[in-house]
Amino acid sequence: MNVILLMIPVSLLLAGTFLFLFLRTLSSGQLDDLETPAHRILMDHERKDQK
Amino acid sequence: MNPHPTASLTLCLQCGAPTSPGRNYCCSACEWLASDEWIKELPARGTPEKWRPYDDRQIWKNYDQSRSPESLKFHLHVAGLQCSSCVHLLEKLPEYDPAIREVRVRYGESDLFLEMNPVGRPGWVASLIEEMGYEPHFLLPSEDGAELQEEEDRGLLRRIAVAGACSGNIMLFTVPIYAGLAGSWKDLFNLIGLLLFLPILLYSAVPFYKGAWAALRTGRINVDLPLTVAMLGGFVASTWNFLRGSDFLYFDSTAGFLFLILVSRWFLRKSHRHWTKPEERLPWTQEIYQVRVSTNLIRGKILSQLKEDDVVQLSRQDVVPADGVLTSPHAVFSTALNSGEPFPRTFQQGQKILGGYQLLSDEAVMTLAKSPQESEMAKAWKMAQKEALYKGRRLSLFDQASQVLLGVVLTLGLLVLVAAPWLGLTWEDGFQRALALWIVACPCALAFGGPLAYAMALRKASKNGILIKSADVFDRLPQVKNIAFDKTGTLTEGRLRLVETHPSPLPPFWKSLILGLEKDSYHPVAHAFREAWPEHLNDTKSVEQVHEVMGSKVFGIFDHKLYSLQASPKESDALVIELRHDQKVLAEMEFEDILRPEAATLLQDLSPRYDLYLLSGDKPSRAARLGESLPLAAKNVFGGLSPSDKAAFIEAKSETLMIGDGANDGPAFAKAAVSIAMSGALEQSLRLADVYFIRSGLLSLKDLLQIGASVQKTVHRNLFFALGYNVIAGAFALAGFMNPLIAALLMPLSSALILLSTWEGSR
Repeated sequence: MNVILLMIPVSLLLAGTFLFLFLRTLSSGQLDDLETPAHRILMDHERKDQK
Repeated sequence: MNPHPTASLTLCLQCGAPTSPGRNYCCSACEWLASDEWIKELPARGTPEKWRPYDDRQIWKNYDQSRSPESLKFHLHVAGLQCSSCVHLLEKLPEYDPAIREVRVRYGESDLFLEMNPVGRPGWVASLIEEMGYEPHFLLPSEDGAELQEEEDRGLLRRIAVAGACSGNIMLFTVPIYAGLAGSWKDLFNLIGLLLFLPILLYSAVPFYKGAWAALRTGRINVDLPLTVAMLGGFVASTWNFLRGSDFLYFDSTAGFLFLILVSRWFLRKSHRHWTKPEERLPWTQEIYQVRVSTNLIRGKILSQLKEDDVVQLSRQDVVPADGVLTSPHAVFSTALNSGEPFPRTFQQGQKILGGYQLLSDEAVMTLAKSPQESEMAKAWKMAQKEALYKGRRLSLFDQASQVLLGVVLTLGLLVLVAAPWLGLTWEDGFQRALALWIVACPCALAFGGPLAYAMALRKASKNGILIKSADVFDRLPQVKNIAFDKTGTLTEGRLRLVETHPSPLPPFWKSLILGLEKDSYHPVAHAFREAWPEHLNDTKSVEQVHEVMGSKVFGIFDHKLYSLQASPKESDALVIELRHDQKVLAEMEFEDILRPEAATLLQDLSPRYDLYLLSGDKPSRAARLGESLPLAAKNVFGGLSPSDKAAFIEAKSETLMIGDGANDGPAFAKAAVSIAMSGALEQSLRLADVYFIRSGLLSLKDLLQIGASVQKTVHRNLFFALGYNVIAGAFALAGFMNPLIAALLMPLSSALILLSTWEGSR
């Protein structure tokens, strides 16, 4: 059973890391607009006179 | 449940989004991108007059949000965003002008963030955006609120993230216990569950405590109250049971349901963020006015800077900013916005004019008697907004159900607690059962089953071009028994079209002559002529000394002869215009407001289920004539109604849905069970109405009714599930059968059922 003593902190650390990363993306503004990026990616029209 | 009546909708050839009937593209961006000749170069021109004031530092500094000298930042609202092409085209702007640093579009909110060099000309950029086919609109930092909202959004997301992470991990540590873990490991795992619960209790759930506290202080009950009771009750009971080594722990289920509720609130918040507070802006006014500062100095001022005694110089098409007095000799105004009266009126020097009038003659000067915010129109508008907002704050069916349930559960629990000895239970046993009831039968399924279903429906509606102010529209839709239509702009397209000429066809010379006479006119008839004969627009005759008597006739001299255009004196239901030379009638032209192509079929579809009415401000004879061409009973067609007549009519008939357009339906909107503003209407009708159709045409009405019916079904099913669950779980708890395993099974099961039902109902 001793392995559990290792697993518990590891699992909690893992969860904490993901939470931390999510909060980072949140405060950097990546999640402020979820709709427009999906539209942005659809178009690849180049300017006609820039070849 | 497909809300797209695809058979009658055409799809954009460029992007596949639905278009309005008869059009190939959904927006001008698509048209440009498809046609290969989209802007290669920026037009070599200056800023058009409308936008020139915004190039002026005195003006733009009011809108600049950067607070730094290195760059200018503007926040614009851009109406008319339709699809990906729009985002693409607008964000390409910096490639064309080095002064534009960045353009970021926020599609969902129709917002555009513009960053420019300090030498840039914001007015010019706005004119470009307008040329692309959108309606740009600079936002003042004060009315923006975007930053604040963003911060609130992030705050809620943070709470959701913490709740999600913690509840997920509590779940992981609880599963082994259900699987049979025992002894000190079990205690350790329970302790971890307790510790992981603390961030949720102390951080994620804080908004509920605040809401509950606010409700208690004002003596009301709201949904936050039961949630708080469940949260705190769940924590106290579980901790107590943990300390005394009992099995009744609810950390996992309480955490899970809080997470789900936060998520459903997030969806709901996302779907109607625009409508939470009344707007200060007066949408009928323009933003910049020319104010005479001294005898020969005129300066642009933005609306909020205008005040009493300012001398405002108006030019044609300008809207009077506030109530005041005309100081120039005489002027012609349209008073349509204020009174609904369609014909222009002439005012003399010294006469009182009201904010909202639109100048039709060339120039006028006025002195303001009030500030814009204190004018009659502004006051009426604020009242109506408040009324509309209040209407939107009624309790939904779900809130009512949760309140009743909460009352019952609290009382039952208390009864068991107090009456324990008489029921043959020990005090401790009674307390245990009451707690089990309070926690297991908390209205959690109710608390998120309703909001989630509404939020999904709001999203679906907005994808279909229907903006809904508040979710309780869905509560009121099923009660609708009557539908009242406005005529002009709702059933009809709202603009005149030339339908017949006499003689037919007209000789080309006369067409060119008529276009010459109407060249500078803003009258709807002039637009109709230009639309009818586009091929003659290049060879219009240069008529001299053209004079327009506003609202009655136009005359001018060509080739030494006097020609005039005027309404026919003959009594007719249609509008007939005559071309005359020396009192002799040369030609007659008949105009009509054309019925929307989809109107007849739609009304046919609706007539079995609803009583349909036509309410028009136009002549009774014209309304009757239109009514005959539609599946409407003659007794249900009313003409010659003033805005207040319409309101009185709607008030007398309960459960009426009013669909109209323009400002004068505002009073009727306030009385209707559900009110819908059609596209093309002024922004204020969108503030007054519950629903706003982005797409032109009546087909959205059908979509709305369909979505309404399906959300109602989902809500009822959710309600049924939730109540059923609560009755069964509650009975178990009271009878003392509630062991941790059953609780652990029941709570997530009920949530999953609700999620499944909502998902199924909103596909």
